[in-house]
Amino acid sequence: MCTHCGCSSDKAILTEFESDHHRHHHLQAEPKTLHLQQALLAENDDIANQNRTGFQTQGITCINLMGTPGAGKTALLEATLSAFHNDLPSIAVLEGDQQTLNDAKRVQKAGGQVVQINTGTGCHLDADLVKTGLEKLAPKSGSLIFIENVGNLVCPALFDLGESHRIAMMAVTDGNDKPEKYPHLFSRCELVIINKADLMEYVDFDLSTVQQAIAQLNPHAEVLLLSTKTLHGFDQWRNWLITATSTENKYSTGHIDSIKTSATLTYD
Amino acid sequence: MHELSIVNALLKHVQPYLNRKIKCIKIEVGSMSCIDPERLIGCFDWVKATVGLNDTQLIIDHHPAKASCQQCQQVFTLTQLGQPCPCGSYDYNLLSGQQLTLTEIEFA
Ligand SMILES: Nc1nc2c(ncn2[C@@H]2O[C@H](COP(=O)(O)OP(=O)(O)OP(=O)(O)O)[C@@H](O)[C@H]2O)c(=O)[nH]1
Ligand SMILES: [Mg+2]
Ligand SMILES: [Zn+2]
Ligand SMILES: [Zn+2]
Ligand SMILES: [Zn+2]
Repeated sequence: MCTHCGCSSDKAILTEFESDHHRHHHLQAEPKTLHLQQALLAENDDIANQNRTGFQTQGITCINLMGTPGAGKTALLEATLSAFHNDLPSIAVLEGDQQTLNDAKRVQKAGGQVVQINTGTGCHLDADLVKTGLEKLAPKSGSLIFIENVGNLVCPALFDLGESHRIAMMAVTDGNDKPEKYPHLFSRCELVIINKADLMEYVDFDLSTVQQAIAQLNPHAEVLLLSTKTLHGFDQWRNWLITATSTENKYSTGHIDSIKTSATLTYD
Repeated sequence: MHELSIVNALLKHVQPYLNRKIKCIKIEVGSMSCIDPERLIGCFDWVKATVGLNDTQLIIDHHPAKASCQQCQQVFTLTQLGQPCPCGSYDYNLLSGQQLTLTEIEFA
């Protein structure tokens, strides 16, 4: 097989050498159908793996925090920065939002090192945006990076960013049926955070229904009920973070399976 | 709309073959890929003229997901996330079903 254009080289070809690239003409009719096996997200996955390698060489733990809009992702980062700054490695944040610098300003005020990524009309972060963000963020070795993804339950789950841990976050005010309605995100994470526990008594939220739905989608996921207002559940959250940043778990990619390209090419 | 990101990725993969007239492009979409096939075709039809693929058709080949049960070891077809293995267990690994793969380019 011709490695230049993927054609079958058992057909006669004429090759002209111009400097270092070869141009050839096929003397017989070109085949009509080209069979390939190319993963469409292979480029994203490659960049994600570069990010992952970068984290490993610098001893960095990276957490991809995804969830519903308004679940309290930024509030969780603020509360984490102020509650545990003594117990955790230094925290750096990549903030993903379509527009505004609001969340980055909040994180900075809470003492976190932060870079805002505005995706414009884009509804998710991809590995390349994260790579660019990381160059600006220049995180210290050994630090803990949170990537606050765009508030969206659908597509962030599709794009590997190079993270080692994935969290899906919702709030009691989002309703009981979110895991069932958006199974992709909840089935591909290690931890589900249910926030705004302080509001539970005001809304019809049934924790056991949600826990059961999560157990069916993702039996290995842990579920934490938190409140960033009252700090309910924060002891467990701290323990989870300490485990996630420990030497043996820093880089273990929980339940993340990515789709790889296999570069086979055949012709009819 | 992530289907547009997928279409852009697809166009990058097709780029090397744009010197020939392409009749159709076939992609394999796993049923757990979280892609809406109709929306994907809609996005493709929306942008195809920008790369001169006006007459090209995008064909989607649906693939059901396969999972392997951790409890009883059987391999079964999964039609939706959160569905149990026939043995009743929810503890299984996806073997396939998340793929988004360019599989065929047919030239005119
Ligand atoms: N009562 C209550 N309100 C909360 C809690 N956590 C966050 N909030 C409020 O929920 C609203 C949204 O919080 P954010 O932290 O901006 O949520 P987010 O998930 O970062 O939102 P986006 O980035 O816009 O998707 C704010 O008004 C917070 O004050 C909580 O535990 N209890
Ligand atoms: Mg936010
Ligand atoms: Zn050739
Ligand atoms: Zn998206
Ligand atoms: Zn089984």
